Amino acid sequence: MTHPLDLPEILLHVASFLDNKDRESCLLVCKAWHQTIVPLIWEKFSLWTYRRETWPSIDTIDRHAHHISTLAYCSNLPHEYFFFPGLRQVRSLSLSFDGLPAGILDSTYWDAVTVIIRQNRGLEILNLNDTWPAINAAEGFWDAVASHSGIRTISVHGGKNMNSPPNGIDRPDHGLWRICRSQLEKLYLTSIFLPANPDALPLGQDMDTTFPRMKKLDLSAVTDANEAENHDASILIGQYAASPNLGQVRALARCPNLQDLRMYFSYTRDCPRDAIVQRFVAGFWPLLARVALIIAGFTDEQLAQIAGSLGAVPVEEFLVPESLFGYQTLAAFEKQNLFESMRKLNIHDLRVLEWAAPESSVVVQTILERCPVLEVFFANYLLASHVAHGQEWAATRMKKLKVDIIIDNDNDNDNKEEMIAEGKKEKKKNKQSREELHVAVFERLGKLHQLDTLILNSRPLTNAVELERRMRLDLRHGLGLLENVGRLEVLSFSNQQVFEEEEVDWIKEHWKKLRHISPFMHPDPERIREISLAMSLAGVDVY
Amino acid sequence: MSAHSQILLTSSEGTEFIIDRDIADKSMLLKCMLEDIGEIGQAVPLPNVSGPILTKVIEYCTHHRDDPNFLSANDDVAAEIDEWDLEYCKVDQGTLYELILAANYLDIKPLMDLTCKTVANMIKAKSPEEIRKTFNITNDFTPEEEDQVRRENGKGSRRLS
Repeated sequence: MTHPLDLPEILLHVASFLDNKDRESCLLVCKAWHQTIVPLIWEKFSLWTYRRETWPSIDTIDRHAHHISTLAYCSNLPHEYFFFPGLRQVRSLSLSFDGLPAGILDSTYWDAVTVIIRQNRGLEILNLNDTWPAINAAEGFWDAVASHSGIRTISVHGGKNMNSPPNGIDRPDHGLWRICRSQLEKLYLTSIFLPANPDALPLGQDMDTTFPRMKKLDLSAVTDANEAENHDASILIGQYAASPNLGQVRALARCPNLQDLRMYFSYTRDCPRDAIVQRFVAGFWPLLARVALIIAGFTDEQLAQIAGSLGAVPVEEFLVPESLFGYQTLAAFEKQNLFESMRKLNIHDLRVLEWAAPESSVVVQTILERCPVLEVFFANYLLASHVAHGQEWAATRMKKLKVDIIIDNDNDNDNKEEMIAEGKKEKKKNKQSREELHVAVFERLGKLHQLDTLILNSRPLTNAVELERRMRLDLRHGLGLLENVGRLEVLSFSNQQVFEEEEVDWIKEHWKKLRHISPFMHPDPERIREISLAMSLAGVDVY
Repeated sequence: MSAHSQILLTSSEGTEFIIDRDIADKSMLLKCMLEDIGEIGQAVPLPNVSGPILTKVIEYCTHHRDDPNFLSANDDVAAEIDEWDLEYCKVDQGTLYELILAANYLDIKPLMDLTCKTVANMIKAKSPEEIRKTFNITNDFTPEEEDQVRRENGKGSRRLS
């Protein structure tokens, strides 16, 4: 019989499950293993400034350079480490700032990098981590990038080492924009400054810019360059808050092939909402399948305009936490038929503070009824009465669900005087109704057999009304209906959940994959410590 | 072609196995073959797979019959092997090797991943000498060559990104 480990393809497959430390042991086993595994060892190669004594010799690198496909260099690399004739298979190049003085990133450094770019025609990915090539030192570098026919992805992370504003990025003929206009497919910009109104390119002129091949744009903390005149913190915060951050809108060119748009804002730096909505409505990105506008603060009307521009292709992701997803956006979803293909939805909004916001609940229930392939859904509130009176959930493939479920009272709308008059009888009816509501919710949840994460009542509850209306996850209220939710790994609930022995046993019995569970209460405070300890010994974190 | 149609396979010693079509479809080799030629009603010969190993392979495919993530089941390199699969791989080395070859030949990726992961776990945290012992491999390096390999691929020189 052939020994499978004598077949290089199988040995490589085995080695793909090993880390480099174990692969290095394999190298020394025998000549055949050495020959098979050496390329794997050298596939990813990086030189970091520190621990210089562990670097392979120039000669060794030279002999293995042709195996290297992922190369990561630091900003203070001696120049002899750039010039290896065999270095021609690099597909991904990362240049990272190592924390030492930035002056080292001079034209000699960039000239050396330019050689690597030019001799690796298969280069696809370029990562610049805090090593912004200033245009005056790196004109040749940017020319090489802009005229390289293979580069498809550029990621720029700025911040620590970045000039403010980065020299030259505001010019429309900058190498970065040139490659965007020719062939770039994915652009990630993180923590960089883009001037809002540079002389060279007034806002508005960018409306004609087109990035024809761009498939993914990912802009995170891209802010306007403001010359801070005063370093007083409160004034700075005021400046940030007032800053419209319109600079990043200039990176939002027309992209007829864009599938994936991700923009991350923050609570202190405002989102240029109108300008972004305007671009959606103008049809800048007709083929979007994934949209993430994180902490953008859109109104329901604005969000509806955005949703209303989608749907030419099936939309899979719509992540808009901290925007208002209400009836208008829901109507836009209906009109554009966005329910059918949606896999991930995040409409969680911290600003919805009202305990039982009916609009939020109607939106959530409607989405659960209408989205057959939904897998991840984060939202605010779901009223049990909407569940009980609503249709079955179509979203049975759900994997992660985060929503505060409120056991509201069906009798809430009844005449209060009547309630007082009827006294005891009314109270009994009340109680039954609460139990029925629990069952209705548990029944729906029980059909989510793929669920691995369930986050209910995620906030600490404080006032009496909230406590009264929390969902109770005990067997008496219907926990047993979740017996088929066997893949559950994470369960989170309110701070007032009581589990007795039977619930603890039931959970152990039915949720073998459970890893995390919220702290719960127990009638016997002494037992809770034992139970928590037993759980963590069994691999379940209680936090 | 009904979903419940059955396929006849013959192992290397000529033993016949009747399996459901959806079980056969877990093997990309059989799936493509059956799609190309349709149902022929004749036995499909598998000269590279012995009866006991074929039984074992069918056991795996039957257990994962309704697994919706079958093809991506073992994609996560760091993921732990699940209980049933772990038990399934508790076989002697000879059987494990034959399973790898069968999974490779029949092109059943999750079984290939599972068995290779099992072999990888036999390598983890072992010294070169211990690995040689485990797999009965002779060291054919001269001391000088061994020394050079050690020098060239010293620990810590690469930082995996």
